[in-house]
Amino acid sequence: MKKINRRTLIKGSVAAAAGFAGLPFIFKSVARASSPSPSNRITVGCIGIGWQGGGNLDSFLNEHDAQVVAVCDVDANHLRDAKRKVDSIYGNQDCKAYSDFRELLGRPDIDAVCLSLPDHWHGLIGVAAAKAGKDIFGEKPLTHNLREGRLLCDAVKYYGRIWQTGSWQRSVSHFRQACELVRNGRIGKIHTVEVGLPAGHADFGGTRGQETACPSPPELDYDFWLGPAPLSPYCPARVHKNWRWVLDYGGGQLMDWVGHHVDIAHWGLDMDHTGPVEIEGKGEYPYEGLWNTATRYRLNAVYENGIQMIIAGGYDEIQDGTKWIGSDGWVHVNRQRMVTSSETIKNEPLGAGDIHLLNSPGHTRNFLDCVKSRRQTLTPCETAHRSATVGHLGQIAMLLERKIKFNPATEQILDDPVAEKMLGRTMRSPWLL
Amino acid sequence: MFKNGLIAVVLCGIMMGFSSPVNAVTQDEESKITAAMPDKPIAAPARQRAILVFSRCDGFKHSSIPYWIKTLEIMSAKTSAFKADFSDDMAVFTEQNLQKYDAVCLNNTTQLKFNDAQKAALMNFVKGGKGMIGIHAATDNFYEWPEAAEMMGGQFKGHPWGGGGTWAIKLDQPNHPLMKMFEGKGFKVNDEIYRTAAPLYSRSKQLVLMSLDMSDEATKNAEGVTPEDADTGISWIKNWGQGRVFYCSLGHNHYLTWTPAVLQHYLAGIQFALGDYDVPTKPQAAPLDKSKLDELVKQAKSYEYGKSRLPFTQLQEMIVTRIGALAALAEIETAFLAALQDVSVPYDAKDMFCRQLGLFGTEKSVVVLSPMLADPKTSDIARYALERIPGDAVDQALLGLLAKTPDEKIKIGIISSLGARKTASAVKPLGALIQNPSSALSAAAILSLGRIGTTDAADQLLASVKTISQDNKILLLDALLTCAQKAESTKAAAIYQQLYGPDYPPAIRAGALRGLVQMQTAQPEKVIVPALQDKDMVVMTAAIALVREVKDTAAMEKILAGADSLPADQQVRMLGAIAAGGNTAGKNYAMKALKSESVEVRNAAVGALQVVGDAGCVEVLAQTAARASDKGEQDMARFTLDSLSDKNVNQTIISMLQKPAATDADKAVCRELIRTTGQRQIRAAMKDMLTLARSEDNRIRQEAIRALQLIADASDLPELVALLAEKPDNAVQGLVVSVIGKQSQVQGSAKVLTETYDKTQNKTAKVALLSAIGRIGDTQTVDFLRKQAVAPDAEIAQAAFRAMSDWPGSELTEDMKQVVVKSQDEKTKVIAFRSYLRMISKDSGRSSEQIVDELVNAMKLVDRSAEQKQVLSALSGYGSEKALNVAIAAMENPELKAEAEVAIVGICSKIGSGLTSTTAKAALQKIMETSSNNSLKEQAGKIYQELDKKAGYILEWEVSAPYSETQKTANDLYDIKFVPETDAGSVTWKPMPKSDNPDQFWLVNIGKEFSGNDRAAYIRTTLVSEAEIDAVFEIGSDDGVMIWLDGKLIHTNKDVRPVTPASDKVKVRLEKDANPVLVKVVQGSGEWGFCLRVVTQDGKPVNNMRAIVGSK
Repeated sequence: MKKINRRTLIKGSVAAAAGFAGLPFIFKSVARASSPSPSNRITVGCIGIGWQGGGNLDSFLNEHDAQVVAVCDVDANHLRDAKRKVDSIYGNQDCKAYSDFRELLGRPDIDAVCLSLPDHWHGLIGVAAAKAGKDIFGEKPLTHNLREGRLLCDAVKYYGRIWQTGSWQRSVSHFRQACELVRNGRIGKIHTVEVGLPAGHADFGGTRGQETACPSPPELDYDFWLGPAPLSPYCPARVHKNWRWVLDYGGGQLMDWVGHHVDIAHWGLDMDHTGPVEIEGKGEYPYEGLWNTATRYRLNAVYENGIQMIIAGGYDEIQDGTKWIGSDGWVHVNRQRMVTSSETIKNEPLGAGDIHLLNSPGHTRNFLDCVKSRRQTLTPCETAHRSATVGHLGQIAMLLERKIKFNPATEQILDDPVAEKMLGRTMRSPWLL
Repeated sequence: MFKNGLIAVVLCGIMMGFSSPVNAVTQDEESKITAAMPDKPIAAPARQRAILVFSRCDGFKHSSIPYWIKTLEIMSAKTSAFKADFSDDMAVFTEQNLQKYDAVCLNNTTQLKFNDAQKAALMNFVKGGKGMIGIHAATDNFYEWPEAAEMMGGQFKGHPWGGGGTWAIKLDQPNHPLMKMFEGKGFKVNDEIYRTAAPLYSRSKQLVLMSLDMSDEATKNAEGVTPEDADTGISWIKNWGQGRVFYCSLGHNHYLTWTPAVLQHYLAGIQFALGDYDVPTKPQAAPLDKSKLDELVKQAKSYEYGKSRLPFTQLQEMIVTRIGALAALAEIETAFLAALQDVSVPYDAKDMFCRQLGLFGTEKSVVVLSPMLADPKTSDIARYALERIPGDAVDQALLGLLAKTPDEKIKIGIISSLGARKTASAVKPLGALIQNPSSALSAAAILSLGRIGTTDAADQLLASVKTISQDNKILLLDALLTCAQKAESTKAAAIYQQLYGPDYPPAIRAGALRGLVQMQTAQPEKVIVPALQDKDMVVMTAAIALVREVKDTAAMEKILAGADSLPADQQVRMLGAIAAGGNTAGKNYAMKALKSESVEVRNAAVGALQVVGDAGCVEVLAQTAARASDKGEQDMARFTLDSLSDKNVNQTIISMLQKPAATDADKAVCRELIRTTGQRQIRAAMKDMLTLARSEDNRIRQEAIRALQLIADASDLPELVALLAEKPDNAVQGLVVSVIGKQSQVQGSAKVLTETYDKTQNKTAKVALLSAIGRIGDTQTVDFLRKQAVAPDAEIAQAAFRAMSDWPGSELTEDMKQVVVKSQDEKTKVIAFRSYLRMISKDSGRSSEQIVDELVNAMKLVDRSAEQKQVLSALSGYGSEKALNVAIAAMENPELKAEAEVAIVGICSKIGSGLTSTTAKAALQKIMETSSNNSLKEQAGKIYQELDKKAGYILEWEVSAPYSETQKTANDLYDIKFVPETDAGSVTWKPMPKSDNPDQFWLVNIGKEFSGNDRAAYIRTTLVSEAEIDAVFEIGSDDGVMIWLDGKLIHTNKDVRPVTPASDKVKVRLEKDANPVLVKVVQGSGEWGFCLRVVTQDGKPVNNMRAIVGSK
């Protein structure tokens, strides 16, 4: 294998600085030596330990039967802190730190990985992890675009891996209860679902406006961070936490939240394996500045069974959370509470013949349980792909300003070759999938 | 009122009419309209046409409405193109009435509200082949009716171009029949122009005839214009169902009604809508404005990262709205290609051009993109376009360069694009790269061959299986699996068979295994069973995943044959697969596994039965629950038992309950069945439960009583009371009391007990019934109890007294007091006194002050220290000066001293607001000096210090929060009046916990109780002052705050700040007695809190005032 210098910094002209990021997906060995019995600890590697990754790491450290044996990040500061934390909790120096995910995935003694990455990396590393035989806890939205989502689902299915998505609302009891009410017909036949999401660009990274190109900080391997995304000069507003406001890496509030409230909408409707047949909407995109995801948006999706889903950010009449509206009332749930159109809808307990959804022991716990039992997790890959799909199609409909027709079975856009082109993206060499 | 002798229409008894001042049009203006009006129709009407002109406004009312009514009257009279009726009554929209018309004209209507029947009538009218005509504000409607907004082709969203200005209009369809009157030239107009925003307004949905001309400086720069306004339609037509829609935005200013071209345009549009003027309606993109294109490309060419993206955003708009308009796109492509060839254009701009070119570029671009592809600096961005452009020329260019370029990174990029394009002709050249010495190149070729996935690609990959380098072996095998999924079956089977071989890596074998199972749909077990024993974990778990998907019963049975002898961990997985897949053939195995020695296996089996279990599993699950060794296992088994959904489950449980239980094990199972009967609320088992509640076995009996509590309702009371009469013990008594408690109304609920009481002769039963009556507290039984309490039978009288002493409410306070005073029996006295004290504090009719008074009196009724201690203990809950005095006096009595000290500390700790008592301090001082209880001394010391600090701070509050609205910031919320401010609805208040931080004891810490940003909270209290005083509120808040005193707003401050006591000071007058205070505090982010101190005008704490919550 060629020796590669990945620490190329962007200086001056972008073109001059095109770094060669290395070879895609080479695993020396993926055979796993031993068969752990259900009572043994599950060895975990965490890839991406920035913001969400830190929380995910903590939740694995809290589980008695998981052992975090490796961490990986392209930011040396994140990496150093993560290793320090793991070692201090276990009271040893055993946690290995990697700056290249391929080295971590190549370790045969790792059972499961936790991926907490910017969206533009979800597909590449997710597929690589599945092919490496790992069980995977991955973040929402499943992938940066629909085509990568399909490749990821297929890889996870083909290699028989367990996948849990970080759609943790499924592990919160009042979300589950809301879905149970809907599933059990407490509000009759559903005709409409309203999904209210945040709008705007929140400055999570404290880097708003820092858009002037400058050298990347020494701790960050910026070219590796960009990976398959187009080459663009470094500036602080582009990376940590705020990458989600740039379409090259994320998908704005819409894609940040489809994996929560749309995911819950699908769960309540028992529609985890399908998608809209038509979607149309309006997105307000900034004309200026680096952050180019929609700041206000409203989508109207129609499913094959006639159910209409309205997804909006920044429209007062669509309340935050998920609201199912049926012939006999409505159920509205968000992170604060569940409300129903009448008290009787929620007060009558579920009976013996009613559908009971899995009462989650905790989202990470559910994943580890499934690693042992090989049951489906609360949010398997395909489920997450279907909730993300609503967002992917919505983005295209908004960018092209027209109604998109979609076949959820074949995952093809109908009669619109231009929209169809937008289902995937070109990856910057040498990354490919 | 009907105009000009037109046909009078009476419908549903309602006269049509409208209230607009029609006479606003002067004689002179009417003459001008008549003069400007064409004197014949533009097209000959096929028959007599009729229009319903509707002029209602539920929103803004335009003064031009009467002008348009007059205009349409004159148009009707002078051209005879139609007759017109006029109305502003919503009742006209009925199916029957609309039948009379050929079109509806919305004359500047605003915010119309249609009911469902009216909606259906109007929509069916237009869709069924009639016309819709809209004048100016006709798009300011249908906000609650999306389909109608869609029909209109746009919705009002402001008018940056006001009626006072003059704006430029360009003709988008100069040759269209509806546009002939404008003679091919754009024009300027003095009018108010409506913005009708996308996506409702769209050139793909309607034929836009004219629109604003944004090349005009004044029009482009009007205040409030955004780049989105680049396309603002003025007039358009469309087909809607079988019908037709014509809309024109001109018509705000009155003079337009005597402008000949405008009148001709309206006449033509109306005749189109009526169906008399057959004109083209196919939507068309706006003709490309070449100079605009050139200008944008020119600006875009100087783009650098960090600079304005605006020209590109506008170019994208131009492209997106012309998808399908090939000629226009070709012009844009030419302009883009020229820019890409321009050496002075920076990389940054070329990157953006290429990304957009990918959406619409054609093979024409290849010539320009190819050299860029070959240049390492621009190769990737060239692919952003090339990869998405269809056609063989692109493939040829990619393949040509792949062969030629020495640059490995370029090669990999090309290979990636060929894979994404699934270029079949790339198979050979890619195949040649599989064995390339460069591992990266080889890997890329393999991945792309997999994406292409043809049989040829598979062959190329197969040829290298044996010889591929170790580095890329997995990739190659994986790509081969991908190809096999698309290959014909023989080929696929051969590939899967080969790759499942033992020498292949486990992940690949796992994939091949799935392939084999997919091919073997008839007997999947043949493949799955051996794989389940694979020694590799990855293959074995992949096989488990396949078990989940087996739907066939016979296959599942074969897979599970002998599963019960597998190692525990494997059984856990098998049971997991049954649970995940839900194949009921797994039921028998899961039932057997319930008897496993491994608790993990037993739990997994219970989990599986949750999904596949039925009535047949009731017994084993009950047994499992009965003998479970730990709580977790028992809970799981019980949950499964409780949630089994088979419809025969309840009947099975009932039949099992009817069998006698002999052994201890049987009895334990029986108890589980009774328990689940309760949980499942099997009302059909009511009778059995009543029988079991009479069982000789006490544990069974108790379980049945618990189940009855869940099942029984008020209708069962007679039987339950009968049970109580028969088995008069505490458990049954509790059952009766709790079932009565299920009723919303206590009053009258105990009647069934008194009736039974009168009927029964059994004294034990009578005693039990009395006891239950006492616990229920039905006020209608007060006198009944009083009567029984003086019954001649001492046992009955005693029981009645005990029942009265258990009374939950306060109605018997006086009775108890009298017993205390009069009774000679010491024991009775003691009981009565305890009840008396309890009832005093229960009395919601008394203020806390009155309660303290009563307790102080109670102290005098008793002379035993035991009872006096009880009083002290009760007093310690009130921060009252009177209570304090009693406790201080009690300190003198050595028997009471310890209890009194505790009471003093309790009382002083509750002295919250205002009350600074020298007495309190002295008492605390004494405790600190003389108490023998060290920890109490310490506590007293702390409270002593706090008393000084606390003086004047208001610590007692109730809170109602959080209030928020989507997209509203704290700043907005400050001005939004939520219910607590308006009294417009019910508000839930809950007590606000006091600060637990001694350094900030004054802090009302709202942020600790409620999380989240951008919200508002309300807190309230009532200040009770013993006199009328002038005082000062010293206020601190985080963030903005508003304060009302006695309903009047006395203070506002919108500041964003941390809570600091006395940030704001407000002079107030406090009335004697109650002064209600309401405070609103908004939260931006971070901390969220408030504090209030009430001081005199010279800054000293206000004495003789306290804060009370919970009152109005």
